Amino acid sequence: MTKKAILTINNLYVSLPERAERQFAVEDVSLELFPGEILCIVGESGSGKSMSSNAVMGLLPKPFVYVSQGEIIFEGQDISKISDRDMQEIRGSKIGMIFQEPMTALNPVMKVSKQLQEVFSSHHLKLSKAEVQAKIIQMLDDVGLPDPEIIGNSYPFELSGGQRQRVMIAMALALEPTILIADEPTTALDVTTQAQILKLVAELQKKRNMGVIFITHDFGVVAEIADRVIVMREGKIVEQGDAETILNKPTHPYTQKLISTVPHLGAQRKEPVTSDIVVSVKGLNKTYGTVTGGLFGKKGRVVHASKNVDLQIRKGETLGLVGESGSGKSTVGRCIIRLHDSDSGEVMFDGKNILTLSNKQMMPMRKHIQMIFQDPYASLNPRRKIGDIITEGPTIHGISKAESWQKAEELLEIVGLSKVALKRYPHEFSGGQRQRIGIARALAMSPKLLIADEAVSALDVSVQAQVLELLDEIKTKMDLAMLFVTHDLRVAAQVCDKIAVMKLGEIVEYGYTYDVFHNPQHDYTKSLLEAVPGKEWVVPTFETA
Amino acid sequence: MSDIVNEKQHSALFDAISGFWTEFKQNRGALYGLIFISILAIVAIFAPILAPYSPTEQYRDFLKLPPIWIEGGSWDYIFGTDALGRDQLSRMIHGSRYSFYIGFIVIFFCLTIGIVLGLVAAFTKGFIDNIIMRAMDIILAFPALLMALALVAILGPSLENAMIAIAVTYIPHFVRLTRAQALSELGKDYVSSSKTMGASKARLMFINVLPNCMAPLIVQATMSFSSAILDAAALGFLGMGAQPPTPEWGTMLADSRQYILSDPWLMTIPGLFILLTVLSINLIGDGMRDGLDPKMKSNK
Repeated sequence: MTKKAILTINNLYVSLPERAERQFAVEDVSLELFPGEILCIVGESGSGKSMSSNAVMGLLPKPFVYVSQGEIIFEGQDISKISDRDMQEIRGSKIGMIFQEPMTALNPVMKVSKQLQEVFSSHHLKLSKAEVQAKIIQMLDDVGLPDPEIIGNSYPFELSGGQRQRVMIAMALALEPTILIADEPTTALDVTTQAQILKLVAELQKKRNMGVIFITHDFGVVAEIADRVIVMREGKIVEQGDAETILNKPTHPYTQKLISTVPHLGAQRKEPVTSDIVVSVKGLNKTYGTVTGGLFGKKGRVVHASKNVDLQIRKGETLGLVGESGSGKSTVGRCIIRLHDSDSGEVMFDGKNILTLSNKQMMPMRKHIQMIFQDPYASLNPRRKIGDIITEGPTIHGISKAESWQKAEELLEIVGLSKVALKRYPHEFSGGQRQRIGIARALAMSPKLLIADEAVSALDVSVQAQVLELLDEIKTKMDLAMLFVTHDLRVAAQVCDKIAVMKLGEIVEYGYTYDVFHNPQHDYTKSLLEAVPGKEWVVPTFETA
Repeated sequence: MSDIVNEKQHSALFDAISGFWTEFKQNRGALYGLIFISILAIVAIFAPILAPYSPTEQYRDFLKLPPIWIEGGSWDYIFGTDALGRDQLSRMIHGSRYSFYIGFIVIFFCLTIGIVLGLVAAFTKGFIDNIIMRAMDIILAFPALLMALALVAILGPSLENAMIAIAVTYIPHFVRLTRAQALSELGKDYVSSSKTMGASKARLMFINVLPNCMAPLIVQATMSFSSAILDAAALGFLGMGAQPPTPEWGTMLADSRQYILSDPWLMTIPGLFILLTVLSINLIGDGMRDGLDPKMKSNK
């Protein structure tokens, strides 16, 4: 028995404006979606995965980007050619969509229940007030929100990220659509929240027998929920098939390459590092007071971002600082490098407590501690040439221009860029290349301690793998101590010797990576590990890759 | 090897400029504005050569001669003469110099003082920030022209003092803009990175942050250029700006006020040129905003 597809896309082309990188955002894409299945579209940034779904929803930024060829067949008609008004009828009622940013996708000045009402009234459904009210409560209950009455009466800012995403899902499903399109709905969420949302989507999909198109860049998520998978690259489909086959026996070299770059969750047992201690942190405390405004401000709520944090890093050792957002992991890194002032505690480095040094005394220490930042787009000054950016540190510390320029050339070679780059501006480079430049900048100071603050989180998996490799290579070559701040347990498992798990400013578990991953002691660590998407999937290795 | 580098570099800069130009010239108004201002600038530069007469010499035989396109006009005095027999065209030509002079000096003061105060406020936060910003709030609490009038009354009426007064009333806008822009840049990691290198405050301010704040400041400066000309004209009209016989456009308006009914062209010509100049500069400002700061571009 062959099932009938609810959505068919035939040879879809989406054109881009003239000056764009390529002619088509989506090129010759054909796919079918069947009821009751989750179809995952995977690809790196710029692969056209979001464009395909936006084309289905009629959400392309016309007139610059438009469907130039092909058809999208839904309920017997080609919805790529119908009028905007007809499309509005379909949107929301028959095809629902959820977005990546739950913060911006909800109207901030409208109560949740009011926003849900909007969905009904905009589709002109003849329902009494009481019926609508009952429906709203029912919907909020369906998406697993506790106390639906209270939630309905709240404004979006009063809800957490996970709760907002649940409200979004409730809105998308309000009119019981047959298709749900989810565009990276869990990317902005913490790993435990992500696990809950994924479970919720899978449950609702089964219950209502919907077809779900799930767009993601994360193979872990794919392993968790997908029935079928489509792999996209530069607007084209490179491979499609059922999840089992794609994840474990992909045939296309690009898919193999992508999958092989996914970090393994199972940590390897590593030799304990016994060299000298480079940095030792004891009882580090940092609180943030929310000061309410200007001249007449008062002290408000106090948040503990770091509470009695102790840690040590040895020469050639990588310590992973993992935790969810708001756990204070970045704060600890920034306190050690003195970007933030800490309240109390000590950071021993080179025999000195650097927290008590004056700015002037701190100067010679600065070059020993360097940082790599998360966002490769914000961490390089857009108005300065790469050469100036890399040589800024050495010049401040009194090294001659010629000498530091020479060194910058060598460093660029080390991080895998040509020295021509020195004369260019940051916008001419891709995210991965920029991150390499950021690493070169940190290395220009010949540091002893390198703090990587979510250094690979903003990068695509394949680029991420390269940067991780580079970091590891540099660490061994230069015998650096490294503090690796990350929220991604897979990455942490791969690169760290030791792991410190943080929750609400405190370190709840601290030990060798292998021990933490295979025998977690603290409940929180266990729940974090439990929540990693696709944890049962063992990443296959390929001979060719 | 070095050839390639140089060529690449040249093309990057060239790209930036040509990108700006493509964006700019799509705005027709901005293009016409630029043409008008360019012509006016040339006239201002070569004023002594272009002007047929001295701007202050009085030809007593030809009082209030109408311009050429009105009956009774003469080719000797194309724009006519004023009540004292001075050639209007020569006065207009020399007056254009004063307009640019006012614009540039006011903008120079606003930019330097505004940027320094704005950056200091953004970098110090806390007490000094509060002092600077509250002082700016106080200046902003006065109607600008009234404030300028009061300042001129204290300093004494002259073109220079009028420019100082105008600059003072404009500075708060520049301080606020610089501070807001600098604060948003300060949150970015490239600044953190420089801090971890041990960069000094001055270095952070002027080498790292300032260049990233310039785009909106340039737009604001262009817009203020025209307002400065307008305000200087207003002060001149009220007798508090340039003093006769200076051929400043606003003062010319004031001088001819009493002839508005009998000889309307006396006021029309300087009035029209003030209008065109201000309009052109504003149009250029619009075009520059589109080209320099894509974020501020209105949706089309």
